[in-house]
Amino acid sequence: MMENRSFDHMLGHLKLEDPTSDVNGLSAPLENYNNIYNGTSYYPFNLPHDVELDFDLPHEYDAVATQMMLNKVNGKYSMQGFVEAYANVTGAVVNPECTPMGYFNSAQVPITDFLAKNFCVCDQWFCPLPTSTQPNKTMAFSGDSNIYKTKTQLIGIPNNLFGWMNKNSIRWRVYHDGLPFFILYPELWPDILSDQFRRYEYLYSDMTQEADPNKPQVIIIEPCYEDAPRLGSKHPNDNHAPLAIGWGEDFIRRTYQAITANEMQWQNTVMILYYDEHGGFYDHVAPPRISYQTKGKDAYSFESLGPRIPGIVLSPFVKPGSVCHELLDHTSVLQFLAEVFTPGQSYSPSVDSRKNSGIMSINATLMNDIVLNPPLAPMMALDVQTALGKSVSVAPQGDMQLAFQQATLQLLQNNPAEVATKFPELIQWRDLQAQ
Amino acid sequence: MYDQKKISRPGNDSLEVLEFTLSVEKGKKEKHIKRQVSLVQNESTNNVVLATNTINGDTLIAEGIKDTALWSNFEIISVSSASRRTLLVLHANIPASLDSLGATSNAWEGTPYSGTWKIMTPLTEAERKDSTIIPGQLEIKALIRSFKK
Repeated sequence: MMENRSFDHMLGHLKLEDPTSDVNGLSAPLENYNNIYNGTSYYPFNLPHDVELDFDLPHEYDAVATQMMLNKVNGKYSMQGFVEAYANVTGAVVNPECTPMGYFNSAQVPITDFLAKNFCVCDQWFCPLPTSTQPNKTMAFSGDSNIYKTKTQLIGIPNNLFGWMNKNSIRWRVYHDGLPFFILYPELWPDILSDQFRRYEYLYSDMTQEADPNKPQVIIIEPCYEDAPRLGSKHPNDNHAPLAIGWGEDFIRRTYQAITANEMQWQNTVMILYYDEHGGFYDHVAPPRISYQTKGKDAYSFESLGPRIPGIVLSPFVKPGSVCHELLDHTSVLQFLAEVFTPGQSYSPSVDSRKNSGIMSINATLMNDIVLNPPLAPMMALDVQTALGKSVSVAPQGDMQLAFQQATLQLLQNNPAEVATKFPELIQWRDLQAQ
Repeated sequence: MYDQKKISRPGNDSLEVLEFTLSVEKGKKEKHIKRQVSLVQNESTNNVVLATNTINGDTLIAEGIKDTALWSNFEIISVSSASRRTLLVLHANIPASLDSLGATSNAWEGTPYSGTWKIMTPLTEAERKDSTIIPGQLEIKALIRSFKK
């Protein structure tokens, strides 16, 4: 699960660049998607470069209400308030090309674009609640939420996925590139400190080398969070604004390469790439009115789902290049897990209730009978730049770098088992060098 | 960093923009801020777009402010409907009617462009029966110029 980007922001280009596409993305002319602020219209525009943005964008529950802009006259969410929410929260002067209205073209998000075009895009996947990170993540991993907004807090997570998997003897593992988000849930700390939470660097080598009986049946992969404490030069890659997108694209590529590295295992794999919420970026589709009241003391009522997020299902069981128009949210994943691992038994009453409201399972995307080998991801350099155009993602070429490479290859050749334990990330690096 | 470009604007002339990026680098970190300044011709068109917010009887109303900071140096030459329906408009204490075909009105010539606008239109028979088809915004097109010095 990545962070804070809307469907139109990441995948709206699919329709714009190919008007024959079945995806509900952005269509020309873009003036059909105006936002209104102070008597002026603002339109979607192609972000000129992949650079760090000026600001994070507003996406707390009150800002999301402004963004969705309920018109009391016709009773519809107009989705015309993203610029207004941005101006209200940042206090910034609004540019004619206003950041929340920016979208990426296919060349700027080549990995996301590649996965969308080769697997199944879900163009009706909404975040469960019209609010921010913590409540939406909590919904994603428990089907319920005790909270309605993000604040400085530790969070309770009743009916959480990990307890459910333990209860049902499902083997699971979390791979985390940095501190996992789950650290915000104290009842998960024993799990976090166990062997079932493993460094992301092991993902590739585990997928290629691990013996069958030990393999987890469910894997959750955590990016390196922009908001989490980090030491050293490790760069966040969760795509949380104001981050440039290239870091996240590279993380998604490495993850896809790892998940598809073992072709035997791939034949039974469903990989789900989704975002916790829209992060304040514009999306044109009004969420359906499916209400939810948070649990706990200060119950808060939401009247609808939140804005659409990019959701892609990668699997030999999806039709290549397909589009799923069924209504999905993050609890669709919980529905799916229950269908696979506890057939005939639902995940929880809350998830059941959402299902009865029309929210489907991820199973709705799995429409393919022919198992195909996974296509190779594009290998181009993902060049994140500074505002002044200097590259910040490509290391300088030179003797020192070549010496490191030579030493690494020899170390791998002479001591493969030890390297797999000590420097597992080098296994993936070596295999990519060989391609 | 400085850039100059044109942004196409529906219903208007294309908008010429000067773009300034102020960037500060320290160590490996960078912060930057981008400001776009619109270049407006002495006479140009610009639209007032307001979300509909009330119904009074059978009249649909959109009321709001055209940005007073950005547009305070401009005055109106003429105004027309950009909503393909008849509009009754109130601005600067002057009411005037605009026809659905886009004929121009000089009722506000010389008055400030910025400030409060109230745009009203009769609901159609179909809209009276089904509120979900009521438009979410009303729009007028203005020909404006900078205040004479």
